[in-house]
Amino acid sequence: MERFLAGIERRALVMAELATHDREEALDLVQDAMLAFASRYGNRPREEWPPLFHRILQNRIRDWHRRRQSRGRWWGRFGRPGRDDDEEADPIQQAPDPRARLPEEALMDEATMERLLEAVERLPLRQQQAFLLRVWEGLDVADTARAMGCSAGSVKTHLSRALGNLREQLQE
Amino acid sequence: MSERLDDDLEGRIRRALDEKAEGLDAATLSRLRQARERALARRPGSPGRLAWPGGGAARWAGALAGVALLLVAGWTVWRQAAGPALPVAGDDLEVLASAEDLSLYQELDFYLWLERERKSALADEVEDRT
Repeated sequence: MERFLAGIERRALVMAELATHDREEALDLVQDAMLAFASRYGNRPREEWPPLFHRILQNRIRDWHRRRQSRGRWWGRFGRPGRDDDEEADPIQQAPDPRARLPEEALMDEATMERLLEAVERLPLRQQQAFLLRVWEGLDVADTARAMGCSAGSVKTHLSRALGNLREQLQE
Repeated sequence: MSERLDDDLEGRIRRALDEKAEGLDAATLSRLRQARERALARRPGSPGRLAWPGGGAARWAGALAGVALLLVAGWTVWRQAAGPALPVAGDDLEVLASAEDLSLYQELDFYLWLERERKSALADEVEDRT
């Protein structure tokens, strides 16, 4: 259990920080997830740990977003545009600029590490979760669906939108 | 081409994320370690946590015993509040059944002292006469 948590804690923190944009909040969420995971699922088989841990962490992150949104509504403030879950983007805005360079070219010489991370940070929450769990954490579709609490079909949709969104952002 | 682009994009982002995770500062890593240690102390059966011999069944049995104890205690209190008065001890019963004024018993010492004084005064009087 210790090796598992030690191996996952840094990535968990980065995920939480990308979702909250706040290191302190991210640390709290990761600690909370670790405590809940260890006290509830310590006796479960080892192979079940990754999706279980991520399910707890992603639920904590979603709860955090809900609290922020309701607080934002109360105070009349709104979050950053594009943060709400998978609202349909304006197709005109999403259409590629014909004068822009090909995405491949843009990625080859322009994209820095910071830009890449910012692009991930700007993804709507569900797309971000699907992308990070599938592409970075390496969970398969079924485990990603378990971690996100949705169907496998939804995972594929979120991931496809996330990749489209990232391509879009990085070709600007 | 789109697949190759996605692979390239995914690879670059994965590397950027890895670098971010590897580059966390010492203070953050220390807090992560503390969080991990706290979590491990909460594991079922860990030394820092109160262990229930027998596991879940014993825990349920303990909870049921606790509930039963509370019910018995509640029933006893209710019986005392709603039921007949407790039997009265013999001396108390005698006092209550007596036709004497209750204040006589409450100031019994005073009346005994008064009686002793009266007898003493009578004795002095008799002695003076003789």
